[in-house]
Amino acid sequence: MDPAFLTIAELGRLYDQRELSPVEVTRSLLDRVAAHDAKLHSFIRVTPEAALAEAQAAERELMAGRRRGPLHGIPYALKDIVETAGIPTTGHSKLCKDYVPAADAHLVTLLKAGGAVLMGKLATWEFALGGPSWDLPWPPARNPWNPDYLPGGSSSGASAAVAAGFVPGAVGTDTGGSIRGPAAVCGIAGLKPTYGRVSRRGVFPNTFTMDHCGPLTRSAGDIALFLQVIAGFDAEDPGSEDVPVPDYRAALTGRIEGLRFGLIEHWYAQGAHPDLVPAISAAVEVLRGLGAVVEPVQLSSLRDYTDCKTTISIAELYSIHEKDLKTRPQDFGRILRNRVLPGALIRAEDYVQALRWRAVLAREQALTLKRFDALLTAGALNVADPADPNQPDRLVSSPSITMPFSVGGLPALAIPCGFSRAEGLPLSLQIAAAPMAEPTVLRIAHAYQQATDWHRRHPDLH
Amino acid sequence: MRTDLSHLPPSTPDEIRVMTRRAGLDLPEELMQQFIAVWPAFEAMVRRIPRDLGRAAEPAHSYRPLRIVRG
Repeated sequence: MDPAFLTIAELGRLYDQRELSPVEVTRSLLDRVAAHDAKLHSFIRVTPEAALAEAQAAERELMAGRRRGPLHGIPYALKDIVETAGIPTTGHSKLCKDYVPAADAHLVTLLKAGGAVLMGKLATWEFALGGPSWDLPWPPARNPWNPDYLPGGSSSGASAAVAAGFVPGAVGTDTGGSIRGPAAVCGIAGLKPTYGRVSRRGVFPNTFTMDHCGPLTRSAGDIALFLQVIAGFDAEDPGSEDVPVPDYRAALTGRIEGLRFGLIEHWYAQGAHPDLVPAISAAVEVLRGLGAVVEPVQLSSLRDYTDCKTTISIAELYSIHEKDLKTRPQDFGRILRNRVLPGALIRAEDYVQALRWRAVLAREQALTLKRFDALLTAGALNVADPADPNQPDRLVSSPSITMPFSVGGLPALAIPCGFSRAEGLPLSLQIAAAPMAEPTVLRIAHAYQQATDWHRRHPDLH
Repeated sequence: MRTDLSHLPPSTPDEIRVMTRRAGLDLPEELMQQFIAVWPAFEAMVRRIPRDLGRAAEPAHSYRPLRIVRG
């Protein structure tokens, strides 16, 4: 049985039934990476020996009837800004090319305790911001649906690896959309949890006040299983929230009748890919068919949210990279350098005004969510970008449809909802809800995926 | 009434050089040219931030002494 596109839930069932073993699955996926990743560049570093050792340990325990949790024996990979003891963590940057952390990130300790099998470290935009870049020590990852296109970013390798069937799940990070955007253009599921839901300790920072870690998988059900292992309070992460972790699997009821959704059409009605509006409309009809009530709703413009988020981000980013920018600016990739340097000219009053504006915008979302169980919009405004090194940098010029929920710190999940006709590339729906309402987001996405099969379509790598 | 700074003229290349030096950056000329090319879009963005929030409007991240990690 080829495990390439089995879900985490299916792998767990097959382990229980002794029809597949963690070692078989890990070996098969390592072979798949070896056969196909030369054209996708999703991994910066594969760790086969360590992966097989972890798989063997998991197999021994499972054979003895000890199941640690839903990820026991499940292969996964990490965006290479998540620190791993004894394994280089590069940030896809010349600046950290030889950095070997002494300790694991907190979420890695949770994954190890849960018996998950680490297969390696994944490509990212430089320090989770600068990309796609062709002037770094490793090439940018490519989109498995068509390697002439990019997989989005900054969790570029994570989305490519999951979509390619190299791993059933990966950990990415999302400051302004770096999980949801790449998930959207690769046709997989990507969750930015609530700010403070998953520890950021041991993860290279991008924007302290907006950094999130979260899972990318091929189904909403698998997001629930992954989140179950990595969610929770961490007293050593100042942003962590001490809120009990619910049973996310219990949310996967398949039933959404009576739920009320606000549809934010004005964010994607103009300037988006021409196939996006009909794809979202069709998804909305599926949800209505399942008994949900969907009404249009108006929030502030994407331009407002993007300006607010980006001003905060570049000020914080500059504080992180100031020393290196002053002493070795040429060691940054061009895109990262030109995105971070503007932070040097952000005045204190600009930053604080943006933080005050953030509170206003976040309150707007919170008040809207008193009327609705969830908000719906597109997961990305366009399909994947062509892999063209000469594309202009659109960080500031093009508003982002993922940044609003970064500003709000809300849980937001991107799932596939169709394909473009011209390019044959994935389109995506985004679902957001109130803080800590991940169960609601997962319930809606799971119900949608029970009624559709977009998430069951996979790229042919041959 | 205007609530932002978008009416201000864009900084000239010379002004950008001065601001950059005042920030303690001594960029090679090639990198400075790149920065001069990208800064105007960021400057326009920052100037669109509203400046008319009420006196008591708190920033989104306020100091929480119980969450400061010790040792």
